[in-house]
Amino acid sequence: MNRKDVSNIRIINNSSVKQNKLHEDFIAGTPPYLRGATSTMYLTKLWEVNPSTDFSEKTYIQISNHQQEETNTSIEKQIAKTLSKGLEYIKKGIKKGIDIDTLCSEIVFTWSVSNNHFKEIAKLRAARMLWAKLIQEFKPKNQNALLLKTHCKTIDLDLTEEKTSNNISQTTLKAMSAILSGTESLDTTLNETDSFIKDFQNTTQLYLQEETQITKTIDPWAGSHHLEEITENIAIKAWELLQEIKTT
Amino acid sequence: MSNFLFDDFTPSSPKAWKQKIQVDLQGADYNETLLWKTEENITVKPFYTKEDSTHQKINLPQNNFNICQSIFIDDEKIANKLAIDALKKGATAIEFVSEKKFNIEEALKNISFGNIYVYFNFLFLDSSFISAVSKHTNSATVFFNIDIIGNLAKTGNWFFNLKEDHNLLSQIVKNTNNSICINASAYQNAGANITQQLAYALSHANEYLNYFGENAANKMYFNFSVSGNYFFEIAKFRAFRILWKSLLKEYGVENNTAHIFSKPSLRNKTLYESKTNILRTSSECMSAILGGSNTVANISYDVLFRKSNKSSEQISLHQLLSLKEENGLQEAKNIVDGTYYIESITNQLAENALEIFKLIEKGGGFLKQLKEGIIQKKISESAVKEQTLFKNQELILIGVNKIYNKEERIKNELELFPFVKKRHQKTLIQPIIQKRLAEEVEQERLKNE
Repeated sequence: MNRKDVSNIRIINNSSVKQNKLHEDFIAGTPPYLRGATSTMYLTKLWEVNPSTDFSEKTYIQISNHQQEETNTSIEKQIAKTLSKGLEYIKKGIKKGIDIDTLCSEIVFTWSVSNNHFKEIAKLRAARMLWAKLIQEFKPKNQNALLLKTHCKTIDLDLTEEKTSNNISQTTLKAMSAILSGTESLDTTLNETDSFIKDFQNTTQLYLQEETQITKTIDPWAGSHHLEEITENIAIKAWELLQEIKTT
Repeated sequence: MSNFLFDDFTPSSPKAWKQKIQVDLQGADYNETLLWKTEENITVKPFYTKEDSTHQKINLPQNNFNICQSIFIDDEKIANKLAIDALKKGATAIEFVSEKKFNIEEALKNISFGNIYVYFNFLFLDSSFISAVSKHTNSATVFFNIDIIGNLAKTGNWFFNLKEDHNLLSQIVKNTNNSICINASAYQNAGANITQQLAYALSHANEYLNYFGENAANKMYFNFSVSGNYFFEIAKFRAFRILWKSLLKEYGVENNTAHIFSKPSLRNKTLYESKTNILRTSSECMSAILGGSNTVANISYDVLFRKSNKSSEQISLHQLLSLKEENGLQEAKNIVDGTYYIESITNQLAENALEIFKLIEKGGGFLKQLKEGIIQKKISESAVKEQTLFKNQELILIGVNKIYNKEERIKNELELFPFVKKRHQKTLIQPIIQKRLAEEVEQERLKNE
């Protein structure tokens, strides 16, 4: 039987329409830090695993969205409310005569991470961009001041017993979205006394660091039509809400 | 309208990014610190931008992914109950595995075959039995995992002999849809790297195409296993769709979108700290879903050493259900479109796999190269490479070669033999042995318990 000659096969290139995104030319490590806080991200420095969140070494002020997360607020509202709290702090400090660079170095934003994987990735990308835009108006000396320092926490809102083992999977996926959005530190501790999942306190993040290779490139989901679209939509809507909060 | 958001900042460029990196590295070597050369010989860059886009449009399945529960038929009544339970809980597909013929009526009672996907995985070849099942189920969404070449590769022997196997398969293909499966999972579980998995899957399929002609393409489907390299595994599925389409074009077949069944790999799963397998399957199932698999089945975290049990199965089924319902993955397949990194990797994997495929074909085709032991040798080389990386702790398995609990004892929990069984059977060709990375370490530890 004659085999078919396949020596001339080529990869078919079915080109889809090129879609230009407005923010595709922004890079990590440079304002507005859309794609990440530093130019090398986890390739040179991994995120902190389960740090003590009182950040007691420095006078970090935590601005957190935990409350909003618990009341099921939309992501846009979370960003708007959280950033405006940060803005409040800045304005108060400016009135006292403290310079913008110092003030910015004192703020850490803590975000709780929900189940919606891609919306969570979009959230931090959008938040970093909007914060940079907000702080830009204060004309800081150092462009580092424009960087939104982030800490993420995978809060578990559903602690029913039957879902205990599911918490492991869900925490893994939430942790993943926090990492893929470029968080600087991550807390995945579960308030569980169940011995089955107590072991996972650190294992989850270690697994993500060591076995999935998701840290090998910066902002790996960049370019995804889906992700870039929701990032943009979230940013626009959150900005609108921010303006509303400002004027009230 | 949305321009205003970005007006305050000057757009940058890949060149500027690279320059900033050089500055930030403060003398550290760019190539050593930031580039990652994978087992597939692909170099991953620290960042990807629109310049890396390939704009490759991939034909993806029309429907959203199916959640599959795998059931071994030992007792027909029990298997039937398990299937119905799983479907009630939200599974939309069932895989029935069996070592022997079974009572069809009893096993398949009260299952509505038109609404779900069913995969029959028989570890034996019986043409009339398969016809009977096919007649009973009578649905386009029923698949038979029949793979005479795969069986030869896995066991080293034909079911009967070359002629008989092909005759039986011909009979089956005439009377049944979806009756040829290319089990690429075996290659992954044996240690083949991703490029090899793709090339072998393609050339394996091409054997059937050469034998049956291009019309058989519509009767074929694929079984891939998924492993831990998250983005590469997503790219793997997409690369395969590109390759399949490119191959079928040569045969003049245009409207075929590969049907892909996937399941997490066994190769990276562990006996000790077995709960970490839950972490593994969670990201692996996600890769399978985002990669565009038609159907995803899961494995229990204790599948290596415990017989199928309700609580472990519940966890694994729930993982898939959560991914569908809670994590925003209902419309998962199109999320990847446009992603610079994945598109770039996909393209490289496809191109490299095509080269290997052409070499195999030049050498006489997959079956010939299996008989000559060449495929086995290549897979073995990859497996050894990977094993060395594992030994040197460059490839990590949490709980085994990093962060392991010396006090853990598992000997008394073993209900199954968790290692490769040595078979003393004469074989026609050297079989491709599916072996886990952790086996040697685990055997040592067990001995010393």
